[in-house]
Amino acid sequence: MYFARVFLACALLPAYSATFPQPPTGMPLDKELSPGRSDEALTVR
Amino acid sequence: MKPPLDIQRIDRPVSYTDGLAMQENAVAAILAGEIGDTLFLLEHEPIYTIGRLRDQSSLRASTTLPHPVFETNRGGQATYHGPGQLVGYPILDLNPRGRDLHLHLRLIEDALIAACADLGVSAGRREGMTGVWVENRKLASIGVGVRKWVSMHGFAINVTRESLPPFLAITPCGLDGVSMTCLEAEAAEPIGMARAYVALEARLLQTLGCS
Repeated sequence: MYFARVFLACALLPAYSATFPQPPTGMPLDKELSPGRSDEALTVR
Repeated sequence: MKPPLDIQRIDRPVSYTDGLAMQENAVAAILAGEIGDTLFLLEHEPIYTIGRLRDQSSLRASTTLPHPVFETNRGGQATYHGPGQLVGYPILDLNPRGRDLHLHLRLIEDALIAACADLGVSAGRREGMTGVWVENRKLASIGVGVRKWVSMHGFAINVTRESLPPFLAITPCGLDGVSMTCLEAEAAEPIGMARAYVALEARLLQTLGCS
């Protein structure tokens, strides 16, 4: 039973992690122009 | 005078995280004075990306998407990267270039539009919309950012038809009713990745670099 649970968890984990956003990586940008938007999308942190 | 530009073409599919790490490392190296301006040209492994936003509706049903989703450090809504799409990351020190992020973005647009013309595709801008368009069809997405005035991110231009189907599962860049297109679909003659690389490299070098 234990092995069955471990197997199920291992089988489901990649599918879960593949479809949910991962935590953001890297330092935030100081300024950015976002894709598809006009120049008004400029952000300044 | 513009500084030289080192173009690094990666000839294998690159994961989005590896691509991000390459950019982060290059930004750090430029800030440390270890390397000069660098342009990465590559194809990504299939992935959807989205900025850090509360509203992620452009992903639609995120649990049933055919490819993984990555929340990245840029702004903006969802887009797709994958085979058949040429991605360019110009990592440039904008300090000697006037610290103008709008100009940087417009220069990338200029280079892409010129390269499209070289390949026989008449592309242009749309009022209020970043990117490169053929009429109302979006051919290339552009998103740029800076850290201490060193640029990150860049552009993604769809080259072959293989790049298009995954866009059907999302609302690209959060723009309702926008359809994506590719060079292959718009050109009168076949355009493969190799031709696209040559054209893009030449125009980006001309527009962003001096060597």
